[in-house]
Amino acid sequence: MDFSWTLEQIEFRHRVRAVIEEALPEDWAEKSRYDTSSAYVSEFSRTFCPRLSREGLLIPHWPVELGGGGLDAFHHWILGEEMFAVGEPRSYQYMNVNWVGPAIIKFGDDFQRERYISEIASGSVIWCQGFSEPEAGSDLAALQTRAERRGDQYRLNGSKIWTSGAALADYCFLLARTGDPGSRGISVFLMPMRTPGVDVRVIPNLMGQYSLHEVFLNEVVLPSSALLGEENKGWEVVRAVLHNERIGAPRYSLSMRVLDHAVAILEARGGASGPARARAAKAMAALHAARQLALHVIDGRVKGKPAGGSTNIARYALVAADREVADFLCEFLHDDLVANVDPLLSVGFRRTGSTGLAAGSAEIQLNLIAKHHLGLPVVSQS
Amino acid sequence: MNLDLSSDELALQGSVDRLMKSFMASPTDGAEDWLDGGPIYQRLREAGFLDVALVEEFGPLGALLVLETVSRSPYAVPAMIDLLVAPMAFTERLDGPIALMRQDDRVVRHLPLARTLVVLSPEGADAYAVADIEFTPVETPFGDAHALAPRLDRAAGSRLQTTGHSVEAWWRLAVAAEILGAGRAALGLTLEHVKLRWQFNRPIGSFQAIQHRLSQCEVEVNALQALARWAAVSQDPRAMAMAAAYGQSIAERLAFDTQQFHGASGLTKESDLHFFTYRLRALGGQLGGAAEQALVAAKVLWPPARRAGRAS
Repeated sequence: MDFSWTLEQIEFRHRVRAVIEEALPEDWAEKSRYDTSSAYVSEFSRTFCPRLSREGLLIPHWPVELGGGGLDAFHHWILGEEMFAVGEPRSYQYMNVNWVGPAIIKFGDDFQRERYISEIASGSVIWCQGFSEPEAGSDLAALQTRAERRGDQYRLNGSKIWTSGAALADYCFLLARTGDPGSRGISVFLMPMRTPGVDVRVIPNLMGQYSLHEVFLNEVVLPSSALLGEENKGWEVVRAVLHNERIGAPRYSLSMRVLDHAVAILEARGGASGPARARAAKAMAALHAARQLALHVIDGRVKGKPAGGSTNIARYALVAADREVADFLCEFLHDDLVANVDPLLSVGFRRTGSTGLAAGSAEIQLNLIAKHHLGLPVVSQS
Repeated sequence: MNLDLSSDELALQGSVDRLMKSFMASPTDGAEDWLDGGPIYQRLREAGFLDVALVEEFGPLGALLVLETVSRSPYAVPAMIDLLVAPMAFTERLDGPIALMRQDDRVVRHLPLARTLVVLSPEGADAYAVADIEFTPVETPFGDAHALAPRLDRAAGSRLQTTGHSVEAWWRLAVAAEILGAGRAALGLTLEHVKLRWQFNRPIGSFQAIQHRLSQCEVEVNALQALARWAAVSQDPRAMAMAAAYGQSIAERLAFDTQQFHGASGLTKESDLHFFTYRLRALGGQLGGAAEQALVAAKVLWPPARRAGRAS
């Protein structure tokens, strides 16, 4: 076993930090409030991501022939750690490079690759994910949004919910039913958000300005070239996407920074109490454990191994660790949190709220661990 | 970065697995509170496993791997200190098995099986020949041989030279490794049990209430393994303290859940589970318990003079 970064990887991390430091304005904390979904951060991303692209830091892990740097998944992960720690200035473009692009590269045809990949690689577009529906959350395969084929077009009707960044997005990576009920009747569509019939409603929420939306599809017409992969084979795409998404955003890197910041605040006020320091250290241990498990997943990606149960285990460890962070902040920095005057503390608390829900609920992770990793008997459950 | 075990490390793990294979279950349905693992210790020693920390290609990770495996046995094998603490912290070779205590401890784990007792005090570490000490073994269900802390003639002890490494840091990591082994064993027995035990016309392991808790146990055991291996390889004091704090924090859940899902059979001596659940509880309280390890970790993570900074 070897836990050390190579000199080249260390240098890469420093380069990412340097670019972030240079690009982020001095009042980044106040302006962004570290809200990935804010209008400010998403607008910022439209100049920041092209800059990353020019620096070779937007898609360093993509193949060279697609405009990437040909570097391994660890570089992608280092990039993610550094970005997440400062509130993700790529806004939702991080999803482009984590899983939207890779899914299009893997399942798309030449036309789709040429059109969408070059846009993503230039850092100029935002994608959202149209998966969940009012009646299909954890049970995603029950989705009802319908796409009916008429000649060389599809006509879509239905609605999506909890869609992050929908009001900001240029495109939606959309699931719709093209066949029978269940997972074998689902297809993926690459849908421009400005298509007639697409209507977006912002859901007021506690996560961020444009974190949650409903997306209504009323007689939306898409060309058959919007279909990604084969008709009714969308579930295969979903599974590949979810593995990349569950261990996609290194949420712990922000939480670690928040914990350091929180302890520093307590120390500056005359010293953190023993119980506070012990609780913070336990939370930090849980975060480091989650990080090590995530790195193990990335190590598997570098070696081309199938994702397996390790992704679910790593994701649940992250959920548990983030919960410890939230509990610590509430108990020992109550006044600061309630006063809502410290952007880093506030986001540290706020972000932990979605760790157990985004990319599949924590309970679904536990189901999958029980089924696939522990071999426990299944009786009518997902 | 390579987070898989190397072929040498896998081979080491395979060899100790083979040696331990016949000791992974108790030989009887007897009434023992603990099983004498002294003979297993001798076999480990003869096979060279106890020196693995000082073998260049293995180092402390090798010792950790051996200890993880040995700790999955219900036998009380007094190898923890020999494997991971003495080679890393003391310059001289001690006559094992070694028992280790802080000067204020009231009970000493493994003392009835030990040949050397090492006592830690603020002045240093002192070794005593156990043959020269009078001590009282205690009858206790906590899965190992324990004795009341003996009265010691301080003049009889010999001061040990340390390598500069903290004895307690390695002791902490060794505790984490034993929690990992005992936790895996308890979880393994419980997974077998919930697949075979039927209620309401189905295996109890098919109930989501049980599955979720066992999945959480699995996550935590994997998390502990990741932390402990990182600590052993990096020898980073942050990692060593966090592994111990994390391990002792999860020991309680592992003991509670695995016993709970065994029903009353988990309370009998006919099942091997009690060796692990009680050992987990005892390990969870060693060295002052999770809160103390967390405070040690906090001291390394946030020394008084250091201000906020980003994780590296």
